[in-house]
Amino acid sequence: MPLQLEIFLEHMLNGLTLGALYALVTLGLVLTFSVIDLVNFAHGDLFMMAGFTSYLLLNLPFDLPYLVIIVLVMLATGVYAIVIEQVAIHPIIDRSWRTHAITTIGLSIILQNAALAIFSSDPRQTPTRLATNIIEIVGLRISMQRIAILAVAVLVFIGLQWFVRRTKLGKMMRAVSQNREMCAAVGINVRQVAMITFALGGIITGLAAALITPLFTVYPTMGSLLTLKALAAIVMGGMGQVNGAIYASFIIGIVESLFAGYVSFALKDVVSFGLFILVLFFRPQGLFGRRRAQL
Amino acid sequence: MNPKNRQRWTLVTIVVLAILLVALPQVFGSGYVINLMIDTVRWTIFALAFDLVAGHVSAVSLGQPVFYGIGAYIAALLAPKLGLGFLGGMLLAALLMAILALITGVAFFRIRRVTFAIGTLGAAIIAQLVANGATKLTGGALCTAGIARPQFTLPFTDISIRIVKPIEYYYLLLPILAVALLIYWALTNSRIGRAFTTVREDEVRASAVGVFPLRYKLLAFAVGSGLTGALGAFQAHYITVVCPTEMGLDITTTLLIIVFVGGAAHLRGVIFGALLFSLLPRMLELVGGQVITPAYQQILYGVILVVVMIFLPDGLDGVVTRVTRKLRRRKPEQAEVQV
Repeated sequence: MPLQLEIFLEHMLNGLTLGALYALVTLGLVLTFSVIDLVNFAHGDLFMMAGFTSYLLLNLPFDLPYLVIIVLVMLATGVYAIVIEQVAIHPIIDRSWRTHAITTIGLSIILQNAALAIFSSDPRQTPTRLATNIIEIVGLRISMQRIAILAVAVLVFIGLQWFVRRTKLGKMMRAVSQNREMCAAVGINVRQVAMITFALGGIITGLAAALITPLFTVYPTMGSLLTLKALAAIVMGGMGQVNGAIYASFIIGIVESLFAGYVSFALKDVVSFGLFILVLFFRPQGLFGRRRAQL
Repeated sequence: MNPKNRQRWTLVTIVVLAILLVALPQVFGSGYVINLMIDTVRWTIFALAFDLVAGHVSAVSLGQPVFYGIGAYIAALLAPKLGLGFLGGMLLAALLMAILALITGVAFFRIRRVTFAIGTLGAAIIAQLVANGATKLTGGALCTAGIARPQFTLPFTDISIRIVKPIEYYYLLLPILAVALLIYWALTNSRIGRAFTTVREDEVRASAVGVFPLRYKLLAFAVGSGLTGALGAFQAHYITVVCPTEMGLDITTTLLIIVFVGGAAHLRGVIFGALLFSLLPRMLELVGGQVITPAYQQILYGVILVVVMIFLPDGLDGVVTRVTRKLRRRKPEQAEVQV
């Protein structure tokens, strides 16, 4: 039955691009989590801010080239991330995870409701030429925008591997993730590394948002679900393992897309949570992790 | 103050507060005041239940609205089918929510305590999606309406009381508050309470001295959630309508702000927080009128939460403790000078 196979492949392809989106969103979060051991419950809301920024830039009275818009959104989101880090995260960075959690939840509440007060709760969407340009590859229809997202996700992923392995800053980040006190002792400015990590996460988040806004709607409370999915991916990937979290994001994207196609579209957001629970019950060390002593 | 004196003062405080709670609605009989008092007592119970989990074993549950909402749906949908009345429905909600907490808790408490926060947040988001989506069961956004008013038949008589007026609901809520306080006090001022503290401060050391951390975290989570479920059942019978918004994430915001601005793991702080943040929205209404929309109120709450976390990590209760300790330390010095 070629028709059914085609539909299946189309769901798979959609899932792959959805996974690429989740991977980009997760990347920013897992960076701060693994480097400075901070779970940022406001990460999805940073994505929301970036989404509204790109929405505003796409609807300027004059047309900016899309590439320029992407760069502007990335820079703006990097700045948001730095401001958030300096104002709220910096003073509590050495405190317990509970303080981290409550502070970032407070941040999330502020950002969501500020967006609600400014933009109202209406979902907004701005299609670009790339999003409406649909091409056919071996009988499968896919928009150029989705191909772009997939390509960018792979590029960012490879680029980050190179950055973390080869550059001095990347090595510093890895060192801080392993032992903060020791790093401070040998003269690494831990606070600065934390800020740079945040900024880097923000820039990647901005990139993701600028690519997504033409495909999906932007609304003030969109961040909660994204935070949840990114956190689920991190837990599934083995708590703080960057690569594991990326693979888990793709798994979530694909399963979600298949679930939406074959089971229920309305309940597709339950998938990530269901996977998260299954992993907690049966593989608490993460899908790709080795079993280690638990605390 | 010697311990005996302190005990006496505690007793006096309790009696005075109890008399105030019972008598106040008789003095200020207006609907507004009674509504406010119901609100305050409801938030106090809710926050006590939350503090058992988030304060005493430091497991920040972001999913308390789930237990509250499902508790309300149990009272609205399940209890009538089983022929249970108000009390039966409330006990059923408490029991089922405690069991749900036990089952989910085993998963959420795996790995680290932050997975507990993530899991409960997920449960809260998903529960709302399902409550909105399962229109056949819950009526979705159109809500489930027509929940019966509580009715009691006095023992050995045929006299039956039907609770309709707010003031009657208030007096129905007071015993629930008493039970909640009793449970909270009994759990936290006993061997179990000391185990809670040990688990909160250092899980490794706790297990080293034979206190199994998971057991106590699950106990706190189950009791807190059961209490929350019972409160949800009360709420269903009180407003006689259950909507998916009863599980809203803003409930978590209010709980966080009550417990962590008031002072986590301290009865005084929690009660003070509940009082403060039941009154604050009303005061904002009085001052700002229609200008202050829910969005602005939430922004204010978020700002308070972040500021308190940064500058007063022990909450207002911690400030009070620090100030009184300083005053007490000064006294003996003055005495020495006089001699």
